[in-house]
Amino acid sequence: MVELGFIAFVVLLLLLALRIPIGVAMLTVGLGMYVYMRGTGTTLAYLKNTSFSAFADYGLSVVPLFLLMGQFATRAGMSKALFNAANVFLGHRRGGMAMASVGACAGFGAICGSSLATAATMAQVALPEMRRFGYSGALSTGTLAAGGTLGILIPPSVVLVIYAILTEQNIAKMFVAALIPGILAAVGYVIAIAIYVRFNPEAGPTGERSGAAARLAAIREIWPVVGIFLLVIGGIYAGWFTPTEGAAVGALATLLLAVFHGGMRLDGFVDCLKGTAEASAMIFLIILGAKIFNGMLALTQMPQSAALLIGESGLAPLAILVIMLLIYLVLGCMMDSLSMILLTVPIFFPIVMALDFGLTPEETAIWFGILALIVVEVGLITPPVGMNVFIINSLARDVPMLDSFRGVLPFLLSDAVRVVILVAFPVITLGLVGLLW
Amino acid sequence: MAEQPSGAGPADPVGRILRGAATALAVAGGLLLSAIMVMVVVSIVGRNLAGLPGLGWLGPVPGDFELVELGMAIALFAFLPYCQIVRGNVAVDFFVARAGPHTKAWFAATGNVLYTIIAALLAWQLFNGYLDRLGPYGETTWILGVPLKWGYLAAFIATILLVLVCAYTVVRSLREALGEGEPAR
Repeated sequence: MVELGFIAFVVLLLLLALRIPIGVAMLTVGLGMYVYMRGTGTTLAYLKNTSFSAFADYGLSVVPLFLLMGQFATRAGMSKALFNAANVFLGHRRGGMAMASVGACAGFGAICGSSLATAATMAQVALPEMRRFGYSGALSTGTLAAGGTLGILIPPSVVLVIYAILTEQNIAKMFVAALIPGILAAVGYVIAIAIYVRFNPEAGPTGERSGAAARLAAIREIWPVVGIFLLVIGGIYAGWFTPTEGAAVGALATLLLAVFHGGMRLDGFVDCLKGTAEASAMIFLIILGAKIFNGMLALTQMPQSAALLIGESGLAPLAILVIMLLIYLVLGCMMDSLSMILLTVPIFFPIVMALDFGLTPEETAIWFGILALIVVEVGLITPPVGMNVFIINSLARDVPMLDSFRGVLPFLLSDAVRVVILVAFPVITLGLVGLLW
Repeated sequence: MAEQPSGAGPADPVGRILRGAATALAVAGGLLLSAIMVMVVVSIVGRNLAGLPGLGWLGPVPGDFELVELGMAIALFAFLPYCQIVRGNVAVDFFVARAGPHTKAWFAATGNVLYTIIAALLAWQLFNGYLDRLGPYGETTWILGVPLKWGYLAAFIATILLVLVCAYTVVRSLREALGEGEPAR
């Protein structure tokens, strides 16, 4: 039976290589293998019982609501305020405007759980500004592509929610755990920019210094973002509401912000609904596919065998963890992060949980989730299919694609350093969770 | 992203009609999602105000959890046809990145054929699920007693449109494979 699991994986990868949509490929292989193992009747009954219930899931209903919130956020008119608020503090430094873009991306990530939306929205404001002040194409596009990945790292995060549901972890704890690594990421990017402009001073000229009054005024402009973030994340943490309810509150608050601050009208609202529809359908087709595929995989007992095999291999737990993270890194160059999490977690998670890192099972689960999230996000800015880089590059027509990928390099180094630090010191990820619970 | 139209609109009448229907269904699903959002917030407010003196008659919306589940399932099924017709389903571009637009269109046709078959199976089984829940003893939600057959029926109807859209996308990608190739994204 175990061989069937491996065969299923090989066929799945083959279909994926032929650019069959990920959800469709998972459904095809999952249903096909199910028919082979259990017969047609059982398979159809399985599909009947799984399909509706996969969508009628209270835990997962947080996902479309966060997506809706992200859509409203892109029209809330806050990107300019966020950029200004960071720029009045950093703009006068060398490369300061790029640093400000990172800060603004982090701020936008606090009300948007998607990397692509964060990158694209912030780019509309920050890209023209940086280019106007003579920032090099590589630095400005690289900064925004990398800064976009903060959208998914800083809670709320759609991928993190799905990881938490998949592994039955507390979503609030996962969000809190992501906070420090998210801030660390932003700081790491700022340091990367500082070092980069030291060697390439012409890439990031200095801007004007702002006075205390201007700084105060700029900070005052971003209170809605801070308020919504604190309300949603704080409310979920304090137990005022479930994650789904928190997402609904956040979506409604962001809708009001989009209408009253962003000037969104009916056509903009309808566009938001369409955008949410497309993103939700894309994600839930993959969720349905993963459910069917993983149900089939469980029948073959391949995940358990793999966990056993690796547990007995005598490799050090840390070595196994590093290998997994490297696999994510390689896969991330080809696949989107959500599909990767859905595809690998059913296999990797039992393996990780069987390893002894000197942590409690819950700590291990949270720690691994954050590490996996960071590593899969790196795929968004690596060639050949760094989606964030593509999006930003399409907004900066005069910058060659190669320049954009070159501009991302310092941030990749910063990512690598951060992953090593987080692997070496689990307390950075787990400390705040331990403190608050 | 709203700024990025996902592919150009279809030029043929069938494609236009299907795209219009899928868009209308997606927006309807989006309105349902928005209604869920408002209902949930009302429920939270009611729940929290109920503790105040004189406001004890307030409370959460009865059966709010099951309404979220039922409504969300219907909205999500309503989203599927739209995503397919605007080429929104994500795939791994890595290995065929250098293939020509015609080769890509052939691969797309393969994927669309598979999705059509799956959508048809899905529609069939959702209809069976609907039949299972007919009659006075059909399955209902816990608190409000909403018959689940309505959820299955709505999902079935949305999936019928999905089958039509999928079949159309097969024809569309075949036409592209034989004609000018897949449009660049």
